[in-house]
Amino acid sequence: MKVFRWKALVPLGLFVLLVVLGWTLFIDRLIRLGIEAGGTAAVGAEVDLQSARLKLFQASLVLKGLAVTNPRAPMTNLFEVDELNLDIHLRALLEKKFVAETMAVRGLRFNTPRKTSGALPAKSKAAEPAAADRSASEDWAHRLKLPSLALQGLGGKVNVAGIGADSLRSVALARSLAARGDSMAGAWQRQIAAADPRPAIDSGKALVARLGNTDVRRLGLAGARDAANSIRTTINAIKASRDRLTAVQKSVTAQADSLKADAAALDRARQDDYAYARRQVQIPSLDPKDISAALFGPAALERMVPALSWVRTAQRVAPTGLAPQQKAGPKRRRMAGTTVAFPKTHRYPTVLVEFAEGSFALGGQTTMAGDYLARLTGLTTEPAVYGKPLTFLARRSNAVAGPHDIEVAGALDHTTDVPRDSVRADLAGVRLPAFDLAAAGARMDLRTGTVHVALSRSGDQVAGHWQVRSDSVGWSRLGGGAPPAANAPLGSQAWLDGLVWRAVSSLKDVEVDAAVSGRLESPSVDISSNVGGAVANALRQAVAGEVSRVEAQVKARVDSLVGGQVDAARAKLAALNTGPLKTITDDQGQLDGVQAQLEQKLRGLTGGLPGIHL
Amino acid sequence: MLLLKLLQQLIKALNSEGTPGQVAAGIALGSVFGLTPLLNLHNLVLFGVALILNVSLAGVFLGWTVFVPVGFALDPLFDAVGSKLLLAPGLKGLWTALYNAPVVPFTNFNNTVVLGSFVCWVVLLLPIFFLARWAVARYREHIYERLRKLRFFQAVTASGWYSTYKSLTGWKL
Repeated sequence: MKVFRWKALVPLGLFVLLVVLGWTLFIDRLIRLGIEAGGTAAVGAEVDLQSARLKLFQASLVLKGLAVTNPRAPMTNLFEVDELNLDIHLRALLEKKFVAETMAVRGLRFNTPRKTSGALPAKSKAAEPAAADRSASEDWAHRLKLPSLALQGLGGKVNVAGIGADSLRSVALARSLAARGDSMAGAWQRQIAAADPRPAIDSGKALVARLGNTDVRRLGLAGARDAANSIRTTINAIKASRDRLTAVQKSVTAQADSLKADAAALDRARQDDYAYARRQVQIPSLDPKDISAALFGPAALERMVPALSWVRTAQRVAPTGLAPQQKAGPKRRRMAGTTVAFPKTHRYPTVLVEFAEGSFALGGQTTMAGDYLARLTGLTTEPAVYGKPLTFLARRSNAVAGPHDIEVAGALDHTTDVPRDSVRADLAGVRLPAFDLAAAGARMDLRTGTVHVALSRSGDQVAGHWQVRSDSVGWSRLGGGAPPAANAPLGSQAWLDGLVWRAVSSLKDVEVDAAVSGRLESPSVDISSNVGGAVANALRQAVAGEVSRVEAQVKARVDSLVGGQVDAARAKLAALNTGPLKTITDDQGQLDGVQAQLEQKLRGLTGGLPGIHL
Repeated sequence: MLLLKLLQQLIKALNSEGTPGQVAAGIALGSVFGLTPLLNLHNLVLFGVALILNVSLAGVFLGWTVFVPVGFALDPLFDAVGSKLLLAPGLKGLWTALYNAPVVPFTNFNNTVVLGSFVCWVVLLLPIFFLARWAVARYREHIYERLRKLRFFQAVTASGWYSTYKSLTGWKL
C-alpha cells in the first residue's frame, strides 16, 4: 500500500492557492478589524477605521479615516486622522508582530464631533479595563472631601447638639484603639505566661542556696564536677528563658510602637473632626487654601481625574517588565480562552511604531488656530522589549492670532519595573475657559492667559500641577442677576454671595495653582489662588469674631464628645506600655541576678581545685 | 437534512475502499479539525498532511464532523490544560522561544484553548486511531451485512447525493 497520495498534490496546490487568494482578498479587512478591536480594547470606546491597505511588496501599510472616540464624551473623537502611512518591517510580520519604522500622519484633528455615539455597550468586555481605569480615578475624586464655602451657621444660634459622637472619626479611632489594646493585652499576657521565667529563676535561686558556702575541697572531685554541671545546666536554662523573654519583649515593643503611631493619629483625627463639625454647622475655614479648594476644587478635579485615569491606562496598555502578559483570547463561537504573550528582550515587541511625525492645522481665528508639528517615538505595547521610552512632542510652528507658544511634551518610560511617566504642557496667550464658581455665585472668565500643566509618575507616586494665570479676568453673576445687597442677613447665602462678589469682582489678575501628589491610588490635592486669599481676607474682616465664637462652641462640643473616649484609650495604651514591658524587664533583672550568682559559684568551684578543669 | 448528510458521511467512510487502518487514520487526523479551533496554521498544515498521506479522506471528514461537538464540550478542559502548560514556570523558556520564532505564532499556540486542545488531540491520536480501526473492522465484519438489508439504509444510500458520490468514485457496495 502506498503511503503518499501524490496525485493529491494538485488539489493541495489549488487549496494553498485558494488560501493565498483568500488571504489577499481579506487581509486588509482583517487588519482593519484587528486595529479596531485592539484600539477599542485599549481606549474603552469605539475606534473606527475606514480602510486599511497592506502593500507587501512595498512593505507599507496605509490606514485611512481613523477615528478614536473620547471615552468620556462618546459623541466626540479624541482625535481623527485622515491618513496614516506606515513603513513596516516584514520580518516582524513573520513573527505575527507589527513593527513600523516610520509613520507619517496626515490630517490630524482633535475633539471632532461624531455622527454616532462611540460608547461601548455597558456589558461589553472590551470596555471593562478602560472603565476600571476611569472608575478608580472617579472613586478617588468622590472620596476626596473638598471644603465648602457655607456660612449659614453664622449670625444665629448654632445648634451644636446636631454633632453626634458616632460621626466623629476620633471617637471611632479611640474605640478601635481601646479594643486593639484589650486584645493585645490578652495576647501579651499569654505570651508572657508561656515564656514564664519563674521556674528558671526559682531553680537557680534554689541551687545558689543549696551550694551556700560549700567548700569545694569537702565536695571532692566527683561532687565538685556534679555541682559544676548542675550550675551550667541551670545557667543554660536561665539563658534560654531570657531568650524567650527577649523575643516576647521584641514582639511587645513592636506592637506597642504601632499602637503609639495609631495614637498619634488621634490628634489628626481630632482636627478632622473640628473641620467636619464646622461643616455641619456651616461655618467655613478662613484659611485661603480651604477657600481656594472650595472655589476651584471641582474644576481642578475635572482635569485631574482624566489625567490620572490616562496614567492607569498607560500602565495597562504598556506594562512594565518581561513577565508573560495575559489577555482574553479572540472572539469566536468556541471558548475564547486566554492568550499569553511571552516578551523577550532583543526581539520585536508585539506592536511598535518607532517614529511618527505629522503636521496638523487648527483652523479659524482663535488663539489656538495655527500650524502644529507633532512627533512621537517608541510607541509600543512592550516597552521592556523595545528598551526605550515613548516620547512625544506637539508644538505650534505658526500662529494665526495671539502669542503663541504652545508645547505639549512627555515621556513614558516603562522599560524598567518602575514606571516613570511625565507630561508637560505650556500654553501661553491662549483663550482660557470661563469657570462657574458655584460656591461664590460668580462666573470667572479668564479670557486670555497662560496654562501650565505637568504630571509625573514614578512607581506608585504621582505629582502634578495645573496652573492658570490671567491678567484680564472678567466677572459676571451666575444666572445674570444683580449682586446681592450688602445688608442681607449675616450668614445667609445672599450675604455670602454679596461678600464674595465684592471681594473678587475687582480682581483682574487671577492665578490658580492646583497640585496633586501622593500615591496614585489616593493622592492629595492642594489648591491655592489669590481669589481664595481675597475671599479669606474679606471674610476675616466681616466675620472673624463671629467665626471664632462659633468655632469655640464647635470645638467645645467635639471635645466633650471625644475627650472621654480618647483619654480612656490613651490611658489604656499608657498602661499597656508600662505594665507588660515592666513585668518583662523585672523578670529579666531577676534572671540576670541569679545567673550572676551562679557564675560566681561556678568560678568558686573551678578556682578551688587548682590544675583541674571540671 | 444535516442528519442525513452525517449518516451518508458515516456510511461513505465506513464502506469506502480504504482499509480499516486508512479509515481510522483519516478519522484520527480529521479529529484535530473538530477538537481544536479551526482557523489556525496547524490545521492548515494537517489538512495538507491528510491530503498527501494515503488516508481515507471520507474518514478525515467523518472525524472532523464527529469531533466538532466533542471539541465544544471539552473547551473548558482544554482551557484548563492550556493554562497549566502556558503558565508552568518550567516551560516559560520554551514558550518564549516559540513565541519569538518566525511563523510559529500563527499557530496561536499561546492561546489556552488552542494549546490545550492540540495537546489533548496529540495524546488522543493513537487511542482514536486504534479504537476507530477496531470499530471499522467490526462494522464491516458484523454489522454491514445486516444493515444493508434495512429499508432505512437502502433509502439513505439511494439518495441523489450518495449516488453522485458513488458514480464519481466508481465505488460499489
